Amino acid sequence: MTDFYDRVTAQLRCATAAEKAEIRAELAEHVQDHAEALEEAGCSPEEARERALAAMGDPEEIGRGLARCYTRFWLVLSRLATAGIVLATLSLLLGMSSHGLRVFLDNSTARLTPEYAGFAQKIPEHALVTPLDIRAEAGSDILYIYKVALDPEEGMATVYYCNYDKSPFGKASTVLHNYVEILSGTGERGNGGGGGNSGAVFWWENVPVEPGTDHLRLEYHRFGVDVSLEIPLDWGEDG
Amino acid sequence: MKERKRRRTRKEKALRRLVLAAVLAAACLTVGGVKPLPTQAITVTEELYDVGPTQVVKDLGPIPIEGSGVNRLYLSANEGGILISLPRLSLLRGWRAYGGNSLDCSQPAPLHAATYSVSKDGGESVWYLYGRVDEPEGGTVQADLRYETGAGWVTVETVEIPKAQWVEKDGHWYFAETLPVTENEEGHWLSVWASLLDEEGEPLTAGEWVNGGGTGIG
Repeated sequence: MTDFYDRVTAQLRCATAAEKAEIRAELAEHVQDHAEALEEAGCSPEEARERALAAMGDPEEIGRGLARCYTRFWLVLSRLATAGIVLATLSLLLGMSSHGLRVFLDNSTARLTPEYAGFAQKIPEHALVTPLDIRAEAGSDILYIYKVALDPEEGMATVYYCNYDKSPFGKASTVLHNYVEILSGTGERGNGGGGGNSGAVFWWENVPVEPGTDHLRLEYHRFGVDVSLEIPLDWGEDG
Repeated sequence: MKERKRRRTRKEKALRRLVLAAVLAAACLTVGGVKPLPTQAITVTEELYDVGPTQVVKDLGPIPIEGSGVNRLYLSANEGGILISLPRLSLLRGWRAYGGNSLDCSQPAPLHAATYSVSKDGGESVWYLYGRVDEPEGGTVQADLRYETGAGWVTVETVEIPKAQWVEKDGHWYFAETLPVTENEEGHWLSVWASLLDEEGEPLTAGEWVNGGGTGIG
């Protein structure tokens, strides 16, 4: 019986080992089914198996017939498609994490809840914090001033801003903050810091302020785009 | 006779896998950010430098550094500025925005110029001088490659980029060329001073120190 299957699969030159095993199993199932029917009709098990096998026909002819379904073309195509699936899956996982989804999440955070981005410095307890919603177009990005913290004791205001692309799936400019200037009446520049990801950049800048200064200015002038914004300062009831 | 599940043929399996691969490839191109064309990576570089939409002025070809991967350098521009972009091909991500730099040309000036360098592992490097000429009388961009000694500046080499090598687009003249040397004999980086000459070789602008940026290729 084993010889019969070997003679069939010997004709399948382009079949893989797995496919040959599948074919053997399928042929064995047919033979088994037929043999069981013959046994029910009164044949002995040995005779039933021999007659079932004989009824299958010439093994070489069966093998040649099956070989026509196992051409090299479909094997190569199948393997190329499998490689494509693996590459595309890896690319999609990588792309979704570092591009599409990531950019969208960063962009949404900047638009809606920038204070949760985690790139801001700690605000002193006694500082007067004013939430703001000042937005301006700066090229393909939106410049968004979302908070100012005023420390009257130190004479220092900290301005919090971010930039994100107008498109929810667009990347934020990583250099825009280099060209942003925050100016106070003293003309002094403070220090700053920040960070960001593909979809948004968050920045803060300390600016020295004289008591009673009622606003700061943000200036951005680049590539013919001019942004000039007024940032109000709230000194509280005592101020 | 028992009911048995029909096994799929090799053709059916191949076609099913092909369809799945096509669906995944479409997902990569739409939501996965895979870019099959280098010019698509320029769009990302535009976003990173906030220069706005640009049009390609010059394809500077691959970076001439061995082992720097499959890449191309492009000069693109709009009315307000110039963008130099370095898309690099990645097997899984397509063309990626690997590096670049921008030059603001929004303020009137006869000559806008900047340098851009690409270096591999901090070693072998190539430097480009690029920019825009807005002076109609301009005939040559001259770049002096200098280093400073205690006694003043020493010019190591002078590079001339004649108008024949410029590219005209929308009323502006653009140029981008590689610089032949980047350091002096002691291995110190050279500074680039650019000036504009008229067609008779007379200076139209004084030499100005050119700033720039660079990208390191790992």
